[in-house]
Amino acid sequence: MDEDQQPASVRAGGQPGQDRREGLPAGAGREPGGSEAQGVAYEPCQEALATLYTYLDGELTPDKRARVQQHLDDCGPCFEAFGFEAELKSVIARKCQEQVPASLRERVAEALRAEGAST
Amino acid sequence: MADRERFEELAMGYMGSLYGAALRMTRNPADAEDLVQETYLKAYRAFGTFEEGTNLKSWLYKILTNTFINNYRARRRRPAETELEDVEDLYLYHRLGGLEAAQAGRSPEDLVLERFTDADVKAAVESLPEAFRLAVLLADVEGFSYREIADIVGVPIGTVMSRLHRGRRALQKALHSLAEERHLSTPADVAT
Repeated sequence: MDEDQQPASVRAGGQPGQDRREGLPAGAGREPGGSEAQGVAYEPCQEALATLYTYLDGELTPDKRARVQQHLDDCGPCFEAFGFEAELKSVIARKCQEQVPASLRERVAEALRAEGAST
Repeated sequence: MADRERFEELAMGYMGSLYGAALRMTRNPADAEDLVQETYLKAYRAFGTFEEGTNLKSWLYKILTNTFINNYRARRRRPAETELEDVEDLYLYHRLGGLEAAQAGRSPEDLVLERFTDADVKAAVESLPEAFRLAVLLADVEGFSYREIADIVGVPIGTVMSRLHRGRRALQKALHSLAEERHLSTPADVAT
């Protein structure tokens, strides 16, 4: 893949532990979870990512939620990853909506009427 | 006998989402309609046991899900379900996420996730094996909590979380395959 086709977060490079580059917020330019090629994980990212779904599902305790929120404030790559997953979740919800066929409404109403009548 | 008017007043409004869930479960409009009708009849008959003020939606979904599991699973020969090949977390993000970021600031319709049609997403959900499909459906489409899903499906919360986690990853794999087929992962404005 050409370099200019790589996502920005990969292009900017960066290694776990080198997150204190001058002038940049901690975590800037790294893949969430640290450099996989190195096989070393950046711990706060790994911690946050481990709770990605429970966070997005609103199932974390308030203090755990606050900790993840804090990390997302500090870490661009994780913020983007979480944002993508949240967007995906809402796209799934939206695109699975269905219209009820009018015939079904009538069928059900009729069935309930018949049921109520046979007592 | 339960008050039909009261029941209809409370329950009919859920038919849209119950029908949607029934479609994803049965993967067949005729069966989905039968399932919905059967669910409403059962719910109406049992309405006397429903405590008003408690969660009617999850009560209805419990009836729907039980009816599906008991009566509709074996009804038709099912088209092949995707084997649950497990993929890593952030699977779709690692493959499409860069495009999403590059398109930041464009209108919502341009975002790469919006290129999936409704039919795409429904097919991807329906390709999941049942247990995982149910979990994803109840969580992502219907917005139930883990506890509610556990109650609706009749499994422990831990099982719900595991099925949800794996089901979502499988869904991402299915969506990615679709994206590949359709060349959706090519930025629209890249000259080739």
